[in-house]
Amino acid sequence: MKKNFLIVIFFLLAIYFGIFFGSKIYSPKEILNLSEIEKTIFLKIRIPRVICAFIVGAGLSISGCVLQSILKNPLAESYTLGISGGASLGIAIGVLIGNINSIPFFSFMGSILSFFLILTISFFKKFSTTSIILAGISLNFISSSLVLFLVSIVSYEKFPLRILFLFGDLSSFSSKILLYSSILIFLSFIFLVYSGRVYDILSIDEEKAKTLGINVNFEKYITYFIICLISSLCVSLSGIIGFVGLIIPHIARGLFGSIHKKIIPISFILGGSFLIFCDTISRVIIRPVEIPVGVITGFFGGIFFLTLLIKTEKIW
Amino acid sequence: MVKKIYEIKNLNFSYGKNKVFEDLNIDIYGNEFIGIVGPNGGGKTTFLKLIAKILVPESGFILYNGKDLKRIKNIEYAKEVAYLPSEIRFTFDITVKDFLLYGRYPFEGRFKKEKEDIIYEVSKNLNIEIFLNKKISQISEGEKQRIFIAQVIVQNPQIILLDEPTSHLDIGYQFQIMDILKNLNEKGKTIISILHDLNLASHYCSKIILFKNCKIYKSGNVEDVLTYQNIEDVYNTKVLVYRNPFTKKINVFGIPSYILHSLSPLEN
Repeated sequence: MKKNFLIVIFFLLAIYFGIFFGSKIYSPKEILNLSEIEKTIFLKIRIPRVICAFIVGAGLSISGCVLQSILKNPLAESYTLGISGGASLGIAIGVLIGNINSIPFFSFMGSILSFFLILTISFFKKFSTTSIILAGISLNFISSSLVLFLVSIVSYEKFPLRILFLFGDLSSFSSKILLYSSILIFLSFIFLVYSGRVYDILSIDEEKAKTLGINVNFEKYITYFIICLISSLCVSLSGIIGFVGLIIPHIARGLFGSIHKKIIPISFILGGSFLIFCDTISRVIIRPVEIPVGVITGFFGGIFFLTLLIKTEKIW
Repeated sequence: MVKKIYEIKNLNFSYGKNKVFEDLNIDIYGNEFIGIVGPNGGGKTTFLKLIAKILVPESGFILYNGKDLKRIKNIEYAKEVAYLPSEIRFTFDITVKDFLLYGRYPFEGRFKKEKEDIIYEVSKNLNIEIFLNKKISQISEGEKQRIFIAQVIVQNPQIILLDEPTSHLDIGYQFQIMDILKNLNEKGKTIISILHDLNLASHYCSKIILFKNCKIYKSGNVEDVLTYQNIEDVYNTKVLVYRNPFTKKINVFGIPSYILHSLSPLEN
């Protein structure tokens, strides 16, 4: 009960900081008498940005949470598996040949293809849980260098939007994409919670799951599909933001155990709030200059990742 | 009247290019305590997984109560048949109580609230109540196996399939587990278990299926299957088979080859 309360406090604090802190810091009193321009900035820029940060953080966290369970791999998330990288490459290609509205589609194709690639390689090569992660991170590097390559050969002006947002930036999302991403990610969230009990059992033993009446392959593939959808929407909004999907589920598990009906919603709220915090820090730390949010999440995530590796040395 | 629960006809199965079973035939009757024995790599686990509906036969039939196993839905089958793998490795730590609750999945599915009273009843019977709120990682190997069996019982099946439930347990825990299974068998459950220890098999099982090189070498009553000829042939080692004067059951004693060599040909 006390833990639930803390989560709510954390969420409310995140919203508070996200809304009131930025290049200009407001007090709650000032909010009530804003000038017209400030009001517009407030409603059209800051609030959507907080929503965007929440949705991306939440989406990445729930997909990381479920991936870790299904693959029985505590290091899995859409970043370490190369899904985000694939999505970003998809976007870069999509921007060159399509228009802005088709970004999520290309992003989705990219994520599906890269995930499929990773699964196939690891299946045929009988990869250990660690090798899958190394393969995924390699795939991320390959995708990122291809994105940079595309940006270099095509002059920067030809890109209709700041393509470098792909390296993790919450300042250049389109509000249209935000609207339907929020809806889709929320629906996916409901689906994942709905399947919580299935993931509980899958995270223990697939054969046991089969004999408990679970249609293992069907559940796995539909979940992979949903996860690629979530990840690709997140990348379409904010580019690659690593480690959030890794850290948050671990914290959720540490606090609330392993029942997915509980830890998926907790990951959702914690992840969203965490990214709002990171984004606020990125806006405030050297005000009025903004640094990409990926810098902040990468910093915290990297430290966390290292600690995790040192602690769980035995899996290597 | 004993009921025929499984009828296996011309079963073929292979892992990729490795042929495992070729035209395997056997009938299995209900209310028995069946021990599956045989050397490593003899096809025991594959056989058990085929019955458990984890693997699918390439050709041939497995009939369960006269119905083709392929046509039975996983979820319906799970209400009647439970399976315990030889090893369960936990990636994430969970509480024992949560672990036991998963056994209710075939009945409660994704949504319905799990019936917790069954958990308490089963854990009381198996004496694992004190572990309910502990994490799996805090449980010793010997106690863990009892918890795994408890989950199977929570599933309330008619048939229980087990893959070496007593391996890497000390003698005390071995008997504890086998007694639990015996008790279930007496209550009308069919137990089909892979066993390594021939003496455990002879003391607890009512029927034995002996595998050799992915073929059923012999099956039937304990006395008919566990003879020294059969065992020496299948395991490729010398054994002494005798009736234990105290338990009145078959005892199998493997004779180390260095002792065998030191014996004179006459004694041999």
